[in-house]
Amino acid sequence: MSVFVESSIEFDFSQALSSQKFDDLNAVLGSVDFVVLDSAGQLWVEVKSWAKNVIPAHRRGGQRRSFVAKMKSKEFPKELRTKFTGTCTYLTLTDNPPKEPICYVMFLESLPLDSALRTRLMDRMKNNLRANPAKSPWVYPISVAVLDVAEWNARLTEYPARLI
Amino acid sequence: MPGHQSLRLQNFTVFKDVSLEFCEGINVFVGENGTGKTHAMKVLYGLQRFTAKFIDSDHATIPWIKLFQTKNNSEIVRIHYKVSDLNLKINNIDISASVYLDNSISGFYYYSDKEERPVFVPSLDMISHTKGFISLYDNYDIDFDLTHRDIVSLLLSPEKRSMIENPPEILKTLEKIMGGSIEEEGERFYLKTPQGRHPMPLVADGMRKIATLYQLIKNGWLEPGAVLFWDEPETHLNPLLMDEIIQVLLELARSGVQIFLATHNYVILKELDLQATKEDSVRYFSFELTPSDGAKVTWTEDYSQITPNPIAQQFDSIYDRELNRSLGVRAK
Repeated sequence: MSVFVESSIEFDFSQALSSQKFDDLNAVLGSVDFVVLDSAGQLWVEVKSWAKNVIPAHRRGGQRRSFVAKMKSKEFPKELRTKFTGTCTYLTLTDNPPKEPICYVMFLESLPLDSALRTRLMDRMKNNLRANPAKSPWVYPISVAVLDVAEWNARLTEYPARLI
Repeated sequence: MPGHQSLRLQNFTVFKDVSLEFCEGINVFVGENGTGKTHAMKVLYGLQRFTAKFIDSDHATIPWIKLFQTKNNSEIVRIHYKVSDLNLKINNIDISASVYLDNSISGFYYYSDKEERPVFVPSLDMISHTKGFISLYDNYDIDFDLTHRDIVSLLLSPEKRSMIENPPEILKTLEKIMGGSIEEEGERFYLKTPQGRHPMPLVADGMRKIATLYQLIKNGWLEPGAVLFWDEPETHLNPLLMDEIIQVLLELARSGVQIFLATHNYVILKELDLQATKEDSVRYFSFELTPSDGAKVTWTEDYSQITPNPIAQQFDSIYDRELNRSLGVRAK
């Protein structure tokens, strides 16, 4: 199976060499939502959404506000890093450490930032994932992208995503 | 509406025929180099500065050559044309001026009951080059346009008594940013802090910008009803100070100062977008060169609708390349 739903978004990874909905496999350590293998390497996808389709209309505003508050909190980068290292740990413990370059994608249902701020956000995320690299055992090459639905579909045409 | 209301430029430098309508608050000129942003500001400045107190007269002389540092008017008039026509509406009065290739200038000017001294802050720092500059400018042929002489003259003018007796809050804000106040002695400026008195040439470039603003306010040149032109305020300015500069500019605009900025800087634009409230009057003008019709200008009150916006275009390009690098061969 290579079509997955996370929150209110459906991803089709049928063109990939392999794909897994990883947070189901690795609930204990915490992990990214999807690990996808393709000819370019590994694509790790973390989906952030306020799941408007499963929230009653009258509560969506509050849900969105709490989502924004969470993203702005100091806990948010820690959570992302925990999930990233949890994924690395799980793969290593299962004797399958990543050998390919990792592209970490944070997928946001909506990203109301201009290109300057998006670029800065990507730099900050890259630094966050590489926190204290001198002491980290994780030495894999990492690149970071932050995409919303439109950018994802425009750039990753082999893996269509849609709001459901 | 007080201040500059509209401007039409025909056959002037890069402009074939453009009309601009201004807001009473902050007017921001955006565009690539050579699209006429500074030219437009100098025309506005020149028409206000040198026609006030004249009416139906051919006697007022606008020193275009000094403002634009050209040898003669033929360099100001658009190539292949014989005359430039300039029409400005200011304080509900229409004024016009024509510049001819043969160096003659005609026009109908407007009367103001006081000498109007709009403020033009050039991109080049002048507060650290004040001693002897006016004398140098007046007596020698040096490569500085008139705005540099004018700003030095305003900086060195006496302080206004009302500002000394009742300093506006905005001066305290600027003192907080600078960590001190500005003093003048013997045509030289100093930053006075608890640590001592620092000659302006030793003060950081960006701080000199703030010192310039401070001194202009203190001397009473940026009172309600004044007009401030600031060419590239970002020059030498630490980006960390830009939010405070925009805060000060918005305060000035709210007090009734009309402001014109020409900028190439994303942080300036974004800070303005973030800090301006719905009650603030801000208009963005986009200058663009066309192949046959010279520079064209469009405007909007919505930051996100500035088109074309070369600053945003460059960030789009950076974002695009960054994503391509991150996504590798997957990226389409």
